[in-house]
Amino acid sequence: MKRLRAWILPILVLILFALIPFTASFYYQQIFFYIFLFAGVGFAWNLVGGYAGQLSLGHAAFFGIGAYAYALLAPHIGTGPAVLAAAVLSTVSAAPIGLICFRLRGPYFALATIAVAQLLLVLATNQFKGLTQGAAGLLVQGMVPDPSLYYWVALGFMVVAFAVTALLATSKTGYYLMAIREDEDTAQTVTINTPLYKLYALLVSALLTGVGGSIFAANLGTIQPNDVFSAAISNQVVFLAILGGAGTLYGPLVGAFILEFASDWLKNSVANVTWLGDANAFAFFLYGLLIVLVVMYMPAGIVGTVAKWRKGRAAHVHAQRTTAGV
Amino acid sequence: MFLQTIVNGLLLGALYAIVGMGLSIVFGTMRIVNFAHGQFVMAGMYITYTLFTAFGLDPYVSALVSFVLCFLLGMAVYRVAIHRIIRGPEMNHILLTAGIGLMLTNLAQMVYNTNQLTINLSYSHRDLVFGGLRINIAYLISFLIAAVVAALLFWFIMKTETGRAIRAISQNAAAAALSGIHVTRVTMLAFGLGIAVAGVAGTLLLPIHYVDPSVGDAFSLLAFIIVVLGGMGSILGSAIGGLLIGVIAQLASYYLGQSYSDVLTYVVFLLVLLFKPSGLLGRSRV
Repeated sequence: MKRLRAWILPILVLILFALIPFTASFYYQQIFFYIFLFAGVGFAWNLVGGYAGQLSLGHAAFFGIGAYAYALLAPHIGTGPAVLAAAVLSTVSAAPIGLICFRLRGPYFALATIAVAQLLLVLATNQFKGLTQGAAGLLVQGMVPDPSLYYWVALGFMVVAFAVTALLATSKTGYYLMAIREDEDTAQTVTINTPLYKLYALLVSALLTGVGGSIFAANLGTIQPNDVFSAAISNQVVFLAILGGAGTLYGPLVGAFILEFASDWLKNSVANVTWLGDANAFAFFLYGLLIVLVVMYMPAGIVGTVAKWRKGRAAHVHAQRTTAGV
Repeated sequence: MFLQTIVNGLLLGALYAIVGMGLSIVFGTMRIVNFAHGQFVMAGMYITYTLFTAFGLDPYVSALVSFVLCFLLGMAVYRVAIHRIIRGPEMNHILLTAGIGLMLTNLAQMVYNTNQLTINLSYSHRDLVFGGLRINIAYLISFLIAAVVAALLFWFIMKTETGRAIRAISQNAAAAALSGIHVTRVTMLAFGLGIAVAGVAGTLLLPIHYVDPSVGDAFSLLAFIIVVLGGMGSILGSAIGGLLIGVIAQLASYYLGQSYSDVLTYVVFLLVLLFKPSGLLGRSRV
């Protein structure tokens, strides 16, 4: 019964999402496209950054590899195989990146992931200009015939990413990853092969992130290295997961929802306020402020805080019942 | 030409060195993982730019203004935000300071737009010639001031009572508190000092480096590269790390092309993290 009840909310939400394209304009369909896409990538990040507690600030590396793999291969091998190739290539690239970065811990791991993503950004812009067209941009073949269909592509991607992380997180592997997050040395002492499980989480995460990158590129139609390899992509994925709740199942979706709608509302409502200068910059200023406030007052994120609060209340009710002799 | 490139690298590296030394106090010594360090360098650059364009103040005079303003700003940021999470996980340091960095970057973009701004000094295009070696006067003055700042900082940390307190907290905060050191106040002071040095570095960089809102992120990463290369907790190491990165960047850019200076910097950083994580002069860590 309890297992069944756990499925009710996700299925209701999914039905709601499936109804949106029939009522929303293309503009809102695109907003939902980005919510689903980044929620999906957020789910992927959550495996490494949330459950395993390894703060990757360089997920743009996998996102960009997926995007360029798709863009470069789609004209030659077709769109379906190109997405597959994007998944394979981003997963394969995660192996050496993981082997290098996971030798480091804490802030050093975070720094190494930034350095890797930045290195790829510079290489894609300059050294591999022949392949990527550099900052001039590369034309990307579409995935679906009608732009409004990307809504469904992103929704499907998010559902798959959610299912994969939910399965992993609630399995033995998920508990191993959480043990690594809480105390890596102790996890090792109780014979968890910590390097292996961290790498496993990163490979799955990179696979999903690479697919996300290919969908992003196809929807955009043309990409530059700065669109997909930039720190802005890495940071957005991290911030939405933290805002929603890192290491919680639904956190990335809640975070993506709030961030996309908040930034859309902000950009529209302050676009004509001239004394603010750049409306976009003002939106990002508030974005930064939001991050600061969340870390200071709600580090568990929205879902994490609600869960804590409910747990506290349940314990309270339980205590009352016990003392009352019920 | 090889020698000339080395000299240019050392001149630039001296400025990188004080960018790194500021972070060395904050990260290496106080263990605050400050991802907004480069944004404070940027703040110093904009302060200097504004004073120069509005009042014609020479950047080497406004270094003092940068120092004081960034010192106050740094202490305020510490007191309001960082102090509340300093005992928390390092992940939260990173996220909080990245948020502060985002705020500063976009505040700069709101005020100054995304234009690359430079200042033109009467002496910024004049060179001194020493037996075939050309040395730009703006670079030379920045180099000399950077050397003085580095020496003063080293003296402050090593010889003064406050510096001793800072080193004591970095070794063992609880024991330092038991010996009568006001940990919060000294940590706030140290953070402010690190930020003030970042601001001065920004001032010294402006005559030779443009400023736009994106320089903050670039300098943040650069500062971490320098601190890790030099060795955690070693201020002298950061100075050497900065000089080294300056030389590497100049050599790569001269012999391989501009974009290779970034490539080589990141590759060196990853190699150091992998094979010599304690850095050049660092003690063991973690």
